[in-house]
Amino acid sequence: MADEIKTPKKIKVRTGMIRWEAIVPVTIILLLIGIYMTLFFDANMRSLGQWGLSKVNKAEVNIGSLETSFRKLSFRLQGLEFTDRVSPERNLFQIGDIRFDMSWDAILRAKVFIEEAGVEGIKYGQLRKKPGYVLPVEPEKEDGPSLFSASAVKDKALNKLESDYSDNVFGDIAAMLQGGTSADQIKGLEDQIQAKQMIAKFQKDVEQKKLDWDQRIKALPQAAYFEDVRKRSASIKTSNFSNPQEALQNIQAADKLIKEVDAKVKDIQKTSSDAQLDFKNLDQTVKDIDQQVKADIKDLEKHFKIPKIDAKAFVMAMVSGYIAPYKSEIDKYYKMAYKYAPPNLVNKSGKDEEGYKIQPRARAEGISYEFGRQNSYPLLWVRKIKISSDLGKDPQNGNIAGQISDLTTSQILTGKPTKATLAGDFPAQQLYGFATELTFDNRTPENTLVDLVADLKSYPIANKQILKNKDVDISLLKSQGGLHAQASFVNFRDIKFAVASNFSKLETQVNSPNEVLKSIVGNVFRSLDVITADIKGDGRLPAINLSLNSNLGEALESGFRKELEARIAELRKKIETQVNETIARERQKVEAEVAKLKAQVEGEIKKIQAMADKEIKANQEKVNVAKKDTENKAQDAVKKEGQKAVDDLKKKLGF
Amino acid sequence: MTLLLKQLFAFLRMLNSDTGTNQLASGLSLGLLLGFAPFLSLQTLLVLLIVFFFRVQLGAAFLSAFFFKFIAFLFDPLADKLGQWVLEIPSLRPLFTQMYNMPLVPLTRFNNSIVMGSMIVSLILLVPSYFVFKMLIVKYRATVVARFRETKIWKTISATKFYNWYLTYEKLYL
Repeated sequence: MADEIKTPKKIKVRTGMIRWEAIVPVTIILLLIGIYMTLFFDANMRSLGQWGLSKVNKAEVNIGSLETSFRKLSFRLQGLEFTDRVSPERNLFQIGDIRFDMSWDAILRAKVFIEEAGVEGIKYGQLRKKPGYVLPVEPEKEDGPSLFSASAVKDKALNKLESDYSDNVFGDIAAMLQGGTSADQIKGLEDQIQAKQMIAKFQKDVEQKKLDWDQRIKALPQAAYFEDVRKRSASIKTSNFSNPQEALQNIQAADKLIKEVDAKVKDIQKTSSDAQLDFKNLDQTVKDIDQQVKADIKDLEKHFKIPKIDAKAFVMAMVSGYIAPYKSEIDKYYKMAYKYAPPNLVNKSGKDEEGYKIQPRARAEGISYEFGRQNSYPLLWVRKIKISSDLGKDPQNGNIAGQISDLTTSQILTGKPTKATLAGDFPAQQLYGFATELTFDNRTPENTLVDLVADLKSYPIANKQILKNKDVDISLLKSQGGLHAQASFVNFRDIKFAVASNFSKLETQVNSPNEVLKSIVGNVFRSLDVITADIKGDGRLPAINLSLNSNLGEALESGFRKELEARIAELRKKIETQVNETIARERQKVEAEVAKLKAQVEGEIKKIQAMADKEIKANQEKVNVAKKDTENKAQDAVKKEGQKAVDDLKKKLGF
Repeated sequence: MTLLLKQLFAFLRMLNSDTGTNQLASGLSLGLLLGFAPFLSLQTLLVLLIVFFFRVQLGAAFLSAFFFKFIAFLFDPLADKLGQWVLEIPSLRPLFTQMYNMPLVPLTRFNNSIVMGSMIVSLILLVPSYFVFKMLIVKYRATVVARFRETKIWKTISATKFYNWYLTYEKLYL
């Protein structure tokens, strides 16, 4: 078998430096790539774009066609449609054509430069051929913070006005206009007066205190004790001591008595200071009762829905209903921007807002230096994007034109801020005088500024419900609106904006089950030619301080004031009287008891203190007298001894 | 994948033969360059072209690139510091500005601190590594392979007909 194996022919192997045999497979691979790029790349990019944009929009996004050319470095996208999530049978907006060519010169330098891009055929709210699918709503926490959520309002004091004036002002007015509140109605609410319960509890506390203080005063030294002290004191001699030993014993006995009484005095003083503290607490409770009375009056005012006749309350009631749908839209885009904004622009950790700094890139990415020079390409530079929507082709298009200039990654290199302007009319929608100018200036990165000015001279309002609840229904049947808005956004945190709106050629409809309310509101609207509404805001996101002003609020205020002022004053007086009457007797009683207790305790302590002081004083005097007497006697003895010595000496000397 | 495995087997076979020392050493040292360079960059493309069109052992290059990718990753902090230091040398600034604004050169991403640091290290190591790899291959063959061939197991296997058939097959098709 082994013999059958023939020695194989030697195959000549090329051993030169170049691998010539690799040329064919590499060429085949390149050809395959070329075929893929020509035949399938655009289709795959279109599918990928639709999928990605649908995820962002959370509703179907369609791309009509997508064409790219490697040779020309061109891109063209047609028929881009974003489904409206709220009404999927319509598009949120659509763009007919987006096209641009990149420069080979810049691409070879690893930069992107687009001389001119076009965005044409922009339409809003168009009917779709078939309703777009809407992706299921994700849990809210994944979307980022909300500008208008209850927690944002509460925690960040956003829209403080809203939280201050969220009561149903028209409902309260309607209730007030329906009829007066009788004293019996108020009387029926006596149990709700918390001050009354507070006084009852206080009375019990005072009773208990009385018992406690009786016991404490009884524990103090009484008259019998001081009588005993007096007797013990009387037995102490202060003179005529037979010898110094006797004097010393009496003085020591007097000192001991003084110390004993002194210890009792300290007890009395402690009791006195405790009593003062207790009386202070009782006084504070009396003050708390006064505060509770005021709070009870306010609660009852709320119970009887005494309305705020305040311009701001009216404006807030009107505006809240009017802007509610827009708030959800703004919130949707705020959340979207928050989710996709790079972390160096948005503090997603939610911590340390004050000390938040622009975050550096991750270490693994290193630092990319830009060695730019004047007139060189930045990493991305789109010199001009022309935006237009030609009225001639489709009446729904609108007649708008605008452009975005100098969109770039480095404004320092281009030396120009990015500007976007858009102006025009949408005659089909009767929107006239639309103009907006947006400036993004990042030439000094530590002071980034976004500035926006927008105008809409005239837009129609038809059948717009301003306010609807069980008490009142206010609608604008027809009106002409106008808007001017100005906003500036510094370092993506500090915002300042002002929106001035006006509504003219008013046709309103007011309905209410309460005829008086209907008449007053109707008259106010009829008396106004133009309604103005100015909204101003400033602050650091998301804490924005809002202020609202409208001539409608003032007009409603003066309209209702005439009608309601007297009724409100009358009801307030009734409530105050009822509350005061309910608690007056108990309050006087408890105050008298506190005063009596104070007088009794203070009097007793004072009396005992006086007796103790008297005894101490008497004994102290005794000690002093005894000491004096002993001293005198000692001096006399010394004198006598001296005289005797002198006399003896004289005798001895024979004088 | 098949191509890659084929190249890896070819690398092992060549390593254990007596030929292709230069191809193996150059493959390993060019792999070092590939490992230190970012995947999407001009230098990666250039090295790949060299590896494909010149008679460099592909398996050795890919294996070496795979190994040195990990080394480069561990080396990132140092490369970052080295790159920053080089890119911030004031006297080199005009040169870098010129390079940054000329065609093709920015595609190397030399302006990134880690890329610059890694590039410097890999270029410094390129030539010495070629000689080191060559020396190691020769030593490996002289010690490990030669000793293995002297073992009884190998002698038994090499004496079998099955091994002879394999040799014939290898000469004909591989």
